[in-house]
Amino acid sequence: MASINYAQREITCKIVYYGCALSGKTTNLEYIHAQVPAVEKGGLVSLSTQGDRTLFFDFLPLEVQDVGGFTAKFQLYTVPGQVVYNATRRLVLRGVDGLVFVADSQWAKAKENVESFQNMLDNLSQYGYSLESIPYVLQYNKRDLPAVAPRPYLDFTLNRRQKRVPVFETSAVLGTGVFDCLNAVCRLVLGKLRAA
Amino acid sequence: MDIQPVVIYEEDARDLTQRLDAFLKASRASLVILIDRSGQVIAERGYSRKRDAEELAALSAAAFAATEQVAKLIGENSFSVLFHQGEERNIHLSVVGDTALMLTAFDDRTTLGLVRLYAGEAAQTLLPIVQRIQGRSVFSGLPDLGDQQLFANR
Repeated sequence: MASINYAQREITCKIVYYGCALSGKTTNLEYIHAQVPAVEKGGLVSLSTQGDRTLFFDFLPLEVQDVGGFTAKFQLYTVPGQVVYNATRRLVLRGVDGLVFVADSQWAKAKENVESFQNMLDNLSQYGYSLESIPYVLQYNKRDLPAVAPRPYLDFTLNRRQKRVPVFETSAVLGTGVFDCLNAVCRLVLGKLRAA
Repeated sequence: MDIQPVVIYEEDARDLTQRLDAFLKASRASLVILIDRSGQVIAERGYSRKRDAEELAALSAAAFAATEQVAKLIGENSFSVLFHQGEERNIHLSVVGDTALMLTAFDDRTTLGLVRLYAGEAAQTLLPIVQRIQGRSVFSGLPDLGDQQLFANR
């Protein structure tokens, strides 16, 4: 849940990276953490298994000084992608202000992407939230791999709601498009707060 | 449902500070953080390194949420208190209404009983403030980003 602290001139927002298992959610945060200067970030907290799979979530706090007289803080979370961890996925969504849906572009993952998107809708609805009220963007990740579905196909399966949303073709391991995607969701979330 | 932000004005910040300071003094704890259930810091008093409070808030809210699910599995609606005992430092986590948590860090300069007693009292005095800062929709002066890029590659 966003907070606006006029006493300290701070805005804080929660952004969740959602998507199917191994789609690259954690890799997004790792890349961002590696690139952002130390003054603008906290530590990357990863609650993962010994095999480096996300167990609960990853957490990365970012901070930008002097955004129109405010300090803007963005708290980035990922959810665990594995189907079995649905209860923890739902917990992470509590109070979410903006979403990045990270799709794995590979043909073989088409079904998992759609299932994960539907799972996100189901979990949002448990809190009474919906994509009509929460800003989100789509990220088609792993564009550097050979067997990826073309963008129109991914749009057809994932960006077919009444309102089309911004799409970013990325390679999180290389960092391509990762910041464009992050900046876009941050802008949408702050825009939504201004309009509230 | 639109998600309503938490909006804290000068007066709210002053009231929160006053009550949290009073709690710290009475309980002799070293740090107290008031946390929104989504994991954000509402207010903090006492000693913590920069950004520690943010991580403590995110992790504690998650731990509390997970424990709440555990409670439901054994037929309880929720647990109202979580306590983590360390060798030198301890964490006491308690609810403030339905939407906030209060994290207290303390060492051997005080006792769990004392912290528990004063945390219960503090929750009562904090609740009206927590309720009034949530669900406010009237505010102004937020920045317009336009095309500004907040983050970029090195």
